[in-house]
Amino acid sequence: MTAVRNFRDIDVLAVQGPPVKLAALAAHERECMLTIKLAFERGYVIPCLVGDPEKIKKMAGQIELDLTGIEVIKEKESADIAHRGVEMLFQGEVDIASKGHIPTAFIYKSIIIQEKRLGRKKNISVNTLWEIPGVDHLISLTDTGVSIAPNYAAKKAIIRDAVLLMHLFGYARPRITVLSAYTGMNQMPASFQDAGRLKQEFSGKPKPDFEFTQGNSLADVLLGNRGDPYNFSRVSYHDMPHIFLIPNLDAGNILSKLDFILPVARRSLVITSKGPVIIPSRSDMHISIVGEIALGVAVVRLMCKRDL
Amino acid sequence: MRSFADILECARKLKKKARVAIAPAYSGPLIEMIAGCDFITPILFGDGDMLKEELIKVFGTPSGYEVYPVSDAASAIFSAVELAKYGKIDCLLQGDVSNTQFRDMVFAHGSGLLSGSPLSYISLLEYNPWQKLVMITDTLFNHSPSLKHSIKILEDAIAQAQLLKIKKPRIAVLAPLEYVNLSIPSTVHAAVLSKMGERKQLGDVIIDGPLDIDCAVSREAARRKGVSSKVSGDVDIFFVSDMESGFSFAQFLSFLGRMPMAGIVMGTRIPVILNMPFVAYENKIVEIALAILASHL
Repeated sequence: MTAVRNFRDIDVLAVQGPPVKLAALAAHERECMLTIKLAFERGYVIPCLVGDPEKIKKMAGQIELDLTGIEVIKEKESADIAHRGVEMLFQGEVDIASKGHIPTAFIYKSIIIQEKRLGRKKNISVNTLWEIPGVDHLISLTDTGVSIAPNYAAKKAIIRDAVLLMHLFGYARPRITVLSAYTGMNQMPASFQDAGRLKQEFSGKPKPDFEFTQGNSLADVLLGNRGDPYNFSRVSYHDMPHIFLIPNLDAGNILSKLDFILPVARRSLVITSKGPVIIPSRSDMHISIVGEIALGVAVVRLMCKRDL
Repeated sequence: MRSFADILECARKLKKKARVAIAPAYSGPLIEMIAGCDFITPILFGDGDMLKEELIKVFGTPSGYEVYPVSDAASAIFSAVELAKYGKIDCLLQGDVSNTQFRDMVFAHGSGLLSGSPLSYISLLEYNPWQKLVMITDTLFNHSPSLKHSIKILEDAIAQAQLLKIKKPRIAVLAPLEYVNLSIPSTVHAAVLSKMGERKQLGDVIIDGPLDIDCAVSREAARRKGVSSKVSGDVDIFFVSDMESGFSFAQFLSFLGRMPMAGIVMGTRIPVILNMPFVAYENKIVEIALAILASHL
């Protein structure tokens, strides 16, 4: 299989098949509704709108989205909207769920409840994918949204999700950098101890389907262990890992949204046992959110191919 | 000051050359780097014969440089710290020695170099999007600082902003949410710091928090989230909740945004310059200039 290398590949994958069913949770906000309209027009999805029908109809009218043939499921409270939409995903009524104008915590809570019922996963995580000019693969930063301070077991679960995603994208042996601020100048944080433990635990596997980078920071990865003076002209971006494991939520939130500053493109999703959930930021515009829908659709198609 | 060039220009205008101890000084690149610092008097601790050879190689003559012959790295650091305690040097630069050894000798309680304020590390970047200098603190030392320590760390950053002639620094106290969430300590700390700033307890600053990064750097993003912030879209100091966030934040900006970066240690009685691999050698001279400016306060 040819690897998915950038978001253009994702967009191509998203239209290679019939539209998938999407539950849009509280899509009555303008950017959310514009996203649904665009994703529908592009043939990515057949939407099902979960929320307050009056608000949904009003906003659909404002952006000229014809609701004929589009199912609207009445739920008014945020918790109920999240519960219903995520339940639809876990019962196979839809293939993807996407967050609209609703606090993210409600959706995470609903996913965790459904996963618990299913008994498959104890932890969920947000994978933020970056496309960086000059880097020949997508990069996942994870977890960028759920765990405030993940412990060792949670980190293993976070890695499993990110590795699955990278395998779906066709990277047979993704490289993982476990980020840590330890330099020897400061006190050793848990992130560094966990990095060592992870490397030790997985180093003895006979056929590893991922590997860890030696260093634990972006500088380590880019500069290696040369220890000689550097300047930007000598920095090579070819050694960028596929996955950055982020130590905590504060760091995750900052790093994942550096697309507001850096020349990178961002798309995020949560992989549940039953399919992707799209969790755009409230500051995202519909043009970028529709890219996240495309990512979700592409992941659904790739999961189907692998019978997951 | 809006660039590293401004900092260097300011340091060069100082009338008196600063005495900078480099402990230990073994390698050629370090000696060569010092050659670019026309505003310091280097004081070198290391193998006397080897240092003289290097000085002749780089400068043509060993004269004009104070050399303290010592047998090993520990002796070099010990001697430099002793000079610092007696006010004989203005600044200490980490030479060719491991971080742990330097830390254990310089930053240990009883070294005589700690000021009483918590140690913190400010990453100073030439922030391309805004064409100005931006600070991120703390990016190295504090894993999960208490509120009391956070206040001190922020006060030190504000003092550094004044050194850079930023009259009314605009501070974004970062957190994963723009709301106070009792389960996320950074949001609570940010709210307290923000209120303290509002009540002028932190001096003449404009401060807001909790702010997530998108609201901090983009007015449009803040507007979309319904956040009205005076610092949104124009920040001088990003205050982060812990070193993990700050460390990666600074590195990602610098390496992926190609923003030149320098570091400043706060919480010491004299300026201390670390030898961190993520700071380009060409910017070490900026770190020295910053230290010199601080030592002249």
